[in-house]
Amino acid sequence: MKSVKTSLVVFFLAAVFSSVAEYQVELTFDNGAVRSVDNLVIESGKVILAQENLQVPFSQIRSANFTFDQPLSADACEVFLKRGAYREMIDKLNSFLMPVSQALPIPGNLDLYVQYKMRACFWAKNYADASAAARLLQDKNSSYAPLAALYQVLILLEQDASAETVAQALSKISDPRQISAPIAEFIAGRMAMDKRAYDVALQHFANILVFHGRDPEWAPAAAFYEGVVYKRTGYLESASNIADELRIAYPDADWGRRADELK
Amino acid sequence: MCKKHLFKVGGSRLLSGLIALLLCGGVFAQELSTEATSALLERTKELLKADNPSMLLPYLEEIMVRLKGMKDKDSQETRSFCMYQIGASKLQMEKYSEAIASLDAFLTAFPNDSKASMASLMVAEAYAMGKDWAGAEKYAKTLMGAGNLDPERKMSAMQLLAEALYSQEKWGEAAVPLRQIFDAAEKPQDRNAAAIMLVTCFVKEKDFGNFLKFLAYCDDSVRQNASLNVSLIEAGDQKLQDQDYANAIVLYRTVLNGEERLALYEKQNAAIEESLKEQYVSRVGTTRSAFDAVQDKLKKTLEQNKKEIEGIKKGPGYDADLEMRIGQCYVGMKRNTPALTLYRRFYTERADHKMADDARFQAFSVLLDMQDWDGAVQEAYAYLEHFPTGKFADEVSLNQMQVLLQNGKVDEAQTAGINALQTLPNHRFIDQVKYLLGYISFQKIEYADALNTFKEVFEKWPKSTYHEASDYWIAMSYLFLGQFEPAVTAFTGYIENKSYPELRFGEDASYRLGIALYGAGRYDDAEMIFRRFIETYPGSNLESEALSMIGDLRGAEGDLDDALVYYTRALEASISVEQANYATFQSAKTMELLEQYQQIIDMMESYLAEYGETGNFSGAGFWIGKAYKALGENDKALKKYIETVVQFGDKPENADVDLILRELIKENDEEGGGWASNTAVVNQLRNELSRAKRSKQITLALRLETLFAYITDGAQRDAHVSAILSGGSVKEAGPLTLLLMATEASVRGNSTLVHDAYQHCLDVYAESEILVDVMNIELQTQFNDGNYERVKELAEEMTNRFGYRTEIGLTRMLKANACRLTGDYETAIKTYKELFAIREWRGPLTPQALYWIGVCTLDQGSAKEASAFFQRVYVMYEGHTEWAAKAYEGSIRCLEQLGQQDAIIKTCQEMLANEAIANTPEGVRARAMLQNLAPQGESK
Repeated sequence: MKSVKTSLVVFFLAAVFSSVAEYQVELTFDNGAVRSVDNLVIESGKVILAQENLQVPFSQIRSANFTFDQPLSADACEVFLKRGAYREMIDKLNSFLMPVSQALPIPGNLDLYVQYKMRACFWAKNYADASAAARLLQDKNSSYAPLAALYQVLILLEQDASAETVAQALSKISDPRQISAPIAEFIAGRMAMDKRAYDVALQHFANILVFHGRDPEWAPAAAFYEGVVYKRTGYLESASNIADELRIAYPDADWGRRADELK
Repeated sequence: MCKKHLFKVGGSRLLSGLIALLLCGGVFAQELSTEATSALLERTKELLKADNPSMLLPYLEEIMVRLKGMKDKDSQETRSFCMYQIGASKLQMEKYSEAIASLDAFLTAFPNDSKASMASLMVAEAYAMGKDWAGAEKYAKTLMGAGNLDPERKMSAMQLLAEALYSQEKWGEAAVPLRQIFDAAEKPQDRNAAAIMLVTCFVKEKDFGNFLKFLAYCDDSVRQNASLNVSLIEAGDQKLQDQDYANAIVLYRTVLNGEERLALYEKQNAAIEESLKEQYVSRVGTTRSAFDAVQDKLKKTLEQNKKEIEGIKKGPGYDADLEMRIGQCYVGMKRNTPALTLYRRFYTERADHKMADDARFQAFSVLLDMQDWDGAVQEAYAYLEHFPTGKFADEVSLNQMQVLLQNGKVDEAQTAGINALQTLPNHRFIDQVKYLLGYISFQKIEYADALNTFKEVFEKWPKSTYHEASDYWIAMSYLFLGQFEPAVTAFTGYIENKSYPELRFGEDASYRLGIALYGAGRYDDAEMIFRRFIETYPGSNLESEALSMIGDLRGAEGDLDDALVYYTRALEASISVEQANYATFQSAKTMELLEQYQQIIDMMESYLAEYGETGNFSGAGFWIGKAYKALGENDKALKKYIETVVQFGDKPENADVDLILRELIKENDEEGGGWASNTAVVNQLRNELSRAKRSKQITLALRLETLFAYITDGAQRDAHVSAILSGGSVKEAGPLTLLLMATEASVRGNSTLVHDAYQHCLDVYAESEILVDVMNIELQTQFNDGNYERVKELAEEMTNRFGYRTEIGLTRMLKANACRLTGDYETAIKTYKELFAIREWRGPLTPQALYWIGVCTLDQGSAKEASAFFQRVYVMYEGHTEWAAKAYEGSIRCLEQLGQQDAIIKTCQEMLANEAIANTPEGVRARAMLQNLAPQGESK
């Protein structure tokens, strides 16, 4: 396979991260043909294959799998989540995704980054971008589409949508628990909070902590909202203890900063 | 901790430089000792290129011999190169001490040589390779101080220094260069390696803030390390011990469990095995020996990892302990829901684990803390089912009892306590369990059992926390048993016991002492105690009751005005509606005696105004009506009665409505048709009955039906009774309706309805004056059904509850009958005797009691003695025809046994002389007997 490197200039992140990401992309077409290209050129929703003098609509491309010279591994993304370094994570992911943004609708391995971006944007309270990423995954019927549907419900909750709207969105997802048990618990907990059914909410958050305590994304969220419930129900000492825990566990991350909300 | 040598000094660039130097010389050689120096140098170049230090070393040493004494510049340069290279070769050959000596010699001879800093670095590395960490530290520090180091060498020196300090467990010092390496490292793997060592340093230094910060940067390559995880647990334990739960839980959460560690080891091993499959490929900058060294190292790591995996699989591990500790943190942080969820998960998923016992107990404790009483009880049952003799069975069973008691589940609490003592005869809290059992008996009105149990606690466990309480409850049990003298002694003993400095029940006991004295008939002493109580405990919750008691005592002495003063004070001091009610209604009774009827009306109107719906409306209505009646204002009285019944009669709990109904019935009976002949009143009541039925006021309808059943007869009455029996369940009936239901059910032989009416009346109207009548019907039904043991038991309960009330005479009679019919003549006679010994019970039952004593005595074979009892009946109670007739017959049976025929004839004649008795079945039989006994012969 011919390997040609492409230089990517990431303008808006230049100060923080390496602004150059090199990749090659392997395109698999509907007819089974495979091409590796070093410079993915897209015009009007079509991939331009200069050598063959062809332009191929997205609909005729089965997949576009990118190989980066210095790829960002899933493990590395999990480390970002573990650290609660959501903004840093978004910047890093953007350095990979922005240059190939036109190719995102094509099925392929970029969905991994898109779903991480969706999650990071959600936690960074950038709901517009989180929702856009979720929509992208849903529109292209990605394997992450069910997860994206759950995040759409979470976004509704965060944006104080009515209980009816949230319930309606959730009802369209066939088996939320099957997609992600901790997210399903979290949504149930948040919905119970909105109904002021605080005991029920606490149980859902406790289920996350006890049964999914290693989940870097949902365990701190569950602890935080457990604290919110305590605060709302006047158990201020319990809320304060959780604030302490979050500050200790996530000193430089969002959860550590949000701990003040529990005081 | 033995840390592998992580930082290798890169030598390839140095060697390239040396090779270049040699090439510049342009020298070639074939033989070592005979070859020209130039040839030796050429060979040296080749060997350097081939990375063969053992072959290279003799050449370098031979060149050194030839250079001896030569002072020119080239010779000196070659000499410095050779000395340096000898040290490097020895280092490569792992002859660390020789390498150090050679390099030291080089540094001494050529301190300003461009290779000096590299040589120092190699010395430090040699020390490190030889595990001489102090030496490595010294040289690395020297190097760090040198100002002319290029950044790469400085980084290498720093790495060596960090490793030396780390290996010497100088955690705090090691953290400094490690932090610098972390900040300056360009390669992610160097940054990661520094982070890994840093987290260990921070854990050891107990700097958990920095630990957590750097932990996030570590990849998984060391997270499975047993030592690191154990250190974290120890650190967490320390925090837990200090009750710093937030820090503790964060530390515990960073610990990987066995499964996670296994996964990481296996992942690492898979990667190592992949690497081991790789073949050596000669490339610029690589050497076979370096490749082999790496492969060896990987093999060792693989073996070590396999051992760790075995250890994890075989060993008990710390996972369960860790989980329980996290649970403790949740509890400490007052986060009950996650704590409970965690413990439940533990005992569900680790049902056979030795700590499942602890987890169930902790879950129970958390539920107690959450005040989820039902949940706690269920958890306690589950604990005791799984671990009947478990570590915490004593605590659980005791707490379970307490919770059940607190929730009013007295029977369940009693069963739990009895089971606990059966399962655990050496129960750690046996005194407390027994005490609670005593308390339960007291609550169940089983005062004798309560007394025995409290006595046991008091006598057996003088150090028990319940020692003082049991002393107090002994006195209370005596009081409620009606054993007033022992109660007086017990209360006095308790109050005067100097070993109770706090005298926890002092106030209550002082008041109860007055009650006991009152019960014992020592009224002057009782009054003195109540007066003293008021002085000693001003503002006491019982002050109103003490004042009311003085009022009662003054009233009993006939000082009615004085009594009223005390009731007024009692009303002022009342802190509850109940206390106000007592004072108010006792005042009403007193005013009634003083014929102050208008005052009664005024007082009750004020009472209603003050207490509103919280007061006893129906009771006030009853008294207002009664007062109007006494004032001769019968219409007003009737109006008030009916108003009150209609207004409050639909609530079953308004038991005073039933007293009004009783009053109405009584009044109607007394006046021989009384108000019932007033069509307007009766029609009004009938209209109210229809309205109540239409508006589904079932209780009111039942009450009005009951009233009509009592004031009508014949078909009319039957219609009302039928309406009651079919119109509603016992739950909707007031006490008087229940009494009617029970009476009618008894007549109809419907024992089930009798039991239902009785049980409901007992459960809901325990304070009603009508309860005793309902209980007597229940008792009679039990007797009729032949349940004699139940009769004896229930009769005792009733006696304990109602004392010397008139109605209890019948209760005693039924008990005595039950004893007689079960052959217990001694108890039967003793009980019958009560009926003429106790003033309140004397009356129609006395001749019966005497008769039955005669029967028992006769059955015991004492005909003469029995005859005396029979005689007393017909001599003293001739007017009680039924019993006088039976007594005559009994007397005749005695005389028959005694063979006194003349006396029999005389008795029959006396019996038949009373016309009423002569017409009884016994009289008819006596007449026949007399005819048979009369002398046979012809009349003159």
